[in-house]
Amino acid sequence: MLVSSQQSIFTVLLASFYLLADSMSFGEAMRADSVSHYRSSSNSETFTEDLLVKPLHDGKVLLHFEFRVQQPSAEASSSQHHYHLFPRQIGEIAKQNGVDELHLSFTQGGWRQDTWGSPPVNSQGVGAEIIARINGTEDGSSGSKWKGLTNALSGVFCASLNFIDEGNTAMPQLTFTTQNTKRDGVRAGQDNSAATNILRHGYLPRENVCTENLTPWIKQLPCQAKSGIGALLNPYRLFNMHFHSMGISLEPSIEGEIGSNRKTLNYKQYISVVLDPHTFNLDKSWTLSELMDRDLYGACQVSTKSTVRVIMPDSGLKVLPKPATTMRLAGDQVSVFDIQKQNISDIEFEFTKVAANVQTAATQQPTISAHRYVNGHGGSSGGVVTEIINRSSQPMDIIFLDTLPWYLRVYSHTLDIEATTADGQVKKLTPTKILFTPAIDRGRPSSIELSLSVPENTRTTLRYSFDKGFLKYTEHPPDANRGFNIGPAIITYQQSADRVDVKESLFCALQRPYSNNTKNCTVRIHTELFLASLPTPDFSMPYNVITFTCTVLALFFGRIFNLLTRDFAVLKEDND
Amino acid sequence: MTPESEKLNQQESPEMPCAGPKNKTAITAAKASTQNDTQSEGSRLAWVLLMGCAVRLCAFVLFPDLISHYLSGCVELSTPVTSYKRLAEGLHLCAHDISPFDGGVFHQSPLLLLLFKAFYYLPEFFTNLVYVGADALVALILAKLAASKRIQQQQRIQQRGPAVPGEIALSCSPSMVAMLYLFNPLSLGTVLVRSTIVFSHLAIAAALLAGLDGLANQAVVWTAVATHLSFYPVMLVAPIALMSAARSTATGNQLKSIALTVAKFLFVLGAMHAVFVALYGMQYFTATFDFTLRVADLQPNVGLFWYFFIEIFDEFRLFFFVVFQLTALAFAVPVSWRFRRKPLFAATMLVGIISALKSYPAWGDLALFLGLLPIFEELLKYMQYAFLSANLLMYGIGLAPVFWHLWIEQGSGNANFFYAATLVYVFGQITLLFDLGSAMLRRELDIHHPETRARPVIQE
Repeated sequence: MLVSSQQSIFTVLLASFYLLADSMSFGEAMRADSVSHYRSSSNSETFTEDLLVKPLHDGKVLLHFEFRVQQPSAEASSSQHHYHLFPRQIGEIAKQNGVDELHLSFTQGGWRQDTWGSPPVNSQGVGAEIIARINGTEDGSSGSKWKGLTNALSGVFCASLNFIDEGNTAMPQLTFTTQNTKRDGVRAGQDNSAATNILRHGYLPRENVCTENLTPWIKQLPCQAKSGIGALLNPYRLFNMHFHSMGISLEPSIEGEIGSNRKTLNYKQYISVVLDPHTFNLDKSWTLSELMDRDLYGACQVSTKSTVRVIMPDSGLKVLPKPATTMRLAGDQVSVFDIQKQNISDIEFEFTKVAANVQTAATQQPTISAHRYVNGHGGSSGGVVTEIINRSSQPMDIIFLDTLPWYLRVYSHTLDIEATTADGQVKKLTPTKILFTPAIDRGRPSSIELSLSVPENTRTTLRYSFDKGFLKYTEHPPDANRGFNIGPAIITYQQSADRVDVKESLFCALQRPYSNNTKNCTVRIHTELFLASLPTPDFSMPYNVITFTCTVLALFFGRIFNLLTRDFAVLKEDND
Repeated sequence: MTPESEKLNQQESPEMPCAGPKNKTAITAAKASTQNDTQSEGSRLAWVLLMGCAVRLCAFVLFPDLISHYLSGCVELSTPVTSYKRLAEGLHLCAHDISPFDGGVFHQSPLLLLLFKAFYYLPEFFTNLVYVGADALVALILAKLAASKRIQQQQRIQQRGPAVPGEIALSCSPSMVAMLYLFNPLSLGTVLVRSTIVFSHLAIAAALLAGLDGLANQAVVWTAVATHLSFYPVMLVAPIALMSAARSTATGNQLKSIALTVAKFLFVLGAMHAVFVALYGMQYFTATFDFTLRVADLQPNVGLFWYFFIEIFDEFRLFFFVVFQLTALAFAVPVSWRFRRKPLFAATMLVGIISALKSYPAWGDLALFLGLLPIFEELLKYMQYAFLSANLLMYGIGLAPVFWHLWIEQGSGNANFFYAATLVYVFGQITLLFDLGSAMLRRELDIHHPETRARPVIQE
């Protein structure tokens, strides 16, 4: 205890001194000194920043910012935590709510799988998505912890995450299993402890992403937007985009052999945007600072690695200055610029070829892509159709997850799976495993989770039908006739190094250096959202309806009461 | 007993002044002709039942698309507690080891699950066959009810002449009752969409028949089954108890018999629920009884509840649940008491009240009520508003699908259209009920005061 308190006092002093030095612009030597102290201190946190630039086939540019903090925590069970680079707010929220793993993302705009290839992020569904693995049992404490977590994150990110409740939280069992959790499972099995954790998946399809979410996100970066790659984060450019996905993910990784309790906490912050340079009057030749309208002031001082990587198309792009090294990433040539060592202040892009048409992107298309839409007509029922395209030359094992809110009453017996080959042959498929959770009215969404082997070179269609529920007039949103946004279906597959026929996903290529398991990587594909318009009552009618219905009821009561209490009698005439 | 009713009792006992004594030969001739009638009546009934089944099976075989695309989505015919689609979902969940009550879709009885479990793996034709068979059974039981009433009436005429002087018409012939039920478009539609209300109807009809035949225990069990299937038949315990009480003569014995019937009913119902709660947990209870009472699913139907509880302010929701349900349920005992000498009529009135005021009514409920009506054919000429109520019902029935189409399919109308149609429909039923009740009371007056038939009558 004594040691640790001394340590923390020292750290606080050092940090304040460093901040002071930074803000007062002390000399270079001073900075270098403090930074070197950070780096040299053993068993401390490391920070890396990376920007990946990928010119896309249709002339747009993908920018993927990734900031990682690794915190080797002494003992998983230890109660002491010190925060240096690791954002304290996230650390404390995670600790308080018993969170083992957390992924939060805000996305706007659709990722066009067929033109842009595989996405650099795993969460591409429009809206806000939160996935958390929380200690505890299913109906025990973990439910209230989940509530606490969503409310806390809602405050941190200025988002409506507090609207995630039982009604839009699913507990999928197949989709989100990672290699880490499998190992956890083994460990739990070994010592027969009841230490379980429950994965919950919450989704807000109608959440808009804006600067108010970006600002708190930037604040968590050690150098914020003052230096390093973070300096390029210009909200005016980031939100003038075709696709925007911003998120955090907190994942523990276990070092050493199975059974050891040494965990490293990996905290990743990322922003992926697809920008169209033409929007900013940039045509064939532009620089990174022109594109973002911000200058690069060199690397973030506390970073151990600060790089800009450019995925080079086969031809037609010249990049200045000369890259430090080149590497291969997901089958593409990549030029790597080290901002620290090369002291780079800007990177110039010169396109010698006009943006090619979309057709040439065929080779870039991901192995598995998916689309979903609704069919049926009329306001009382409908169906969901999901199409999964497998471009591989071998069957692929996928996991399909679709979570629908309770007011779309899914009939699981209508589930029908067909695979259509290129020459039009249709084959019925049966899933190897189905997990169906029926919805509870105003309580829980329905979720269909199934594992399926998709045949090679086919288009697989999953269909099921639903009836639309009728809501109370207070349950409709203010613009009731627009309808409800329904979150995406998620298709998951394992990217294995053994499979040469599967094109490596960009996400996996980015993830690999930080992953324990270099062989397998889980890829997730989110389908499009759809709008479900539910039948609406007349919102101006409550008083009329109450009056009319009560009149009929009163009429019934009066007449039957009359019948019961009054007898027929002969009229006595006066002249009788 | 009120003094007036005692007076009525006394008046009924002396022989009617018009019923002259009959000679022996006339009686034997009448008996012979009755036997002939019964034979031809029997074959006519068989034909009617056969034709009814044939029409239904033909419709199933010839128009499967029409049924699956248009009729089965018809909210006027199937409700959340009777829909076949939901039953199929329940069966599917059972087959995959998920509790069917752990969710918002299935709200029907586990008895139906048991019944259809075998048919889940068979072709659909067998399921259809079960429905057609059940409906034909309902028609057969209705015919039997009519037949037993007819025999009573014939005996009475032979002994004492017609109850009301100059009344010639007997109640409808059994085959006519069966035909009116089987070829009623409402009951035809109910079977074609495979609404499980058919089984509830079957239990109600069986309970009434058993009650009339004096099989008290069977009647109680069938009432409990009907209550288990759709809750509202709980009201029928009162007339069933009266039926079994009518067998014993002393007042003390009658009261004892009523108490015994109610106790037996509560025991059977309680045992059934205890078994299913043990099997499926409390989820079963919330998914069936609670669901019916609290009107958790606001899907439109032809009743009063859905739009009211979509629009009602949240603070008053509970209050109005109680008010609405009490309005329906509270009349069970008073109505049975009022018509205590005609328990079958009391039961018919209650079936009408259920059809008008239950939380998830469908056209099928009206079909049973209309099926029971021809048994009391003698009341037809006493009904003052028959034309009005027939028109109201026809408007309500005709307009509901049209307005539904305008609201849901085309979007050119709104919810108020369909709501208006349901109001007219319920109002028509209320008019019919009141009219039927008054007709019965008016006829009673004629029976007891035949001399005043030509004079104006008032209610006091």
